[in-house]
Amino acid sequence: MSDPPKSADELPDWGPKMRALANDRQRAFVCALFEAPRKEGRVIYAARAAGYGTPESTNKSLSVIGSRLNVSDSIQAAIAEESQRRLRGLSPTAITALENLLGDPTHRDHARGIGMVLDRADPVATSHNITVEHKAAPHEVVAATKEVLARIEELARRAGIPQLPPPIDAEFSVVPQGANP
Amino acid sequence: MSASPDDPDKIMSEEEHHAWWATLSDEEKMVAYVPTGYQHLLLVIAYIKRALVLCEMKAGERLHHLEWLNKQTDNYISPEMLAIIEPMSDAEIAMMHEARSLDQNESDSKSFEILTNWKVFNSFLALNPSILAAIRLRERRVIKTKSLAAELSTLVGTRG
Repeated sequence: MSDPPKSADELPDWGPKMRALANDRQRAFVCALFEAPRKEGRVIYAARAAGYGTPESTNKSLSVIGSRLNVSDSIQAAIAEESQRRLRGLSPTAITALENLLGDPTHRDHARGIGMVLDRADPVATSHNITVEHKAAPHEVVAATKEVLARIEELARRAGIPQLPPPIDAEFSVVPQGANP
Repeated sequence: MSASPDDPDKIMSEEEHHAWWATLSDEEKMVAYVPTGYQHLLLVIAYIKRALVLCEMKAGERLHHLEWLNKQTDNYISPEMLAIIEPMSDAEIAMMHEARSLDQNESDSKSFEILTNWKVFNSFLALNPSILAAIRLRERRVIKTKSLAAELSTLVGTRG
């Protein structure tokens, strides 16, 4: 494990959340969480590595100290920030591993590896099919065709309406019955 | 029991109803026999006709209203009755809108109750005699049908 940083100012590459921590021990605790040798006991390892407790402190007491630190909002925010930073730092290793994967056509994840590279080199164009549905009333979509106008004239005659004003979407004239068109 | 012609909220007793009925002329009785649903429909037909005659609208909208009018004919409202009803006048439109303003939403029936109230409906008939003419057409048709039925019954009886 690397030595815990002495001061936030000495390491200007800390993110704002790490800088916001109360002291260097807390920053060391966060870093040590990432460097713990195994999943189990990570909190105890980090608490001890950051200098909490005494050399005689039991695992139980270190576990209490570490757990309290681990659930504090400022430590949680710093862990999230550090996770992002370390994830980006993993890229060279990941690329190397991916190159190995791509170079081995017999590997069961070979095809998936190619897909991952292609996705990142030339991101898949995502298409969204958005259906905009406008339920127009039937009378809103009827065009003023010759047939429609003839039907209007016929219905108006049946309803006893001798003369109607012209519809606003069509030239309209009532031709008297028997008149030459 | 039925609603009082003077006050729709007051329910007449049987005696009161008989007394009121005795005061009506034959033509008034004919009007009183029109079911309230058809009374309302006759008014709406006149209202729609007014809209068709005066309002600017697209062909589709006009067709929609005319098709609706055309569908209102049935055993009660004949095509002749539909054709004889004149569009509402300004006064009728004002009354109609006043009544409709009482409805809070589409399912409200306050305007229906007001418009089919005896006095209000008769006011519409006075302003638009074509509605009364349509009701008379209906009455004539009923009388004619009854007369034909009687003739047919006599004819069958004679042959039997």
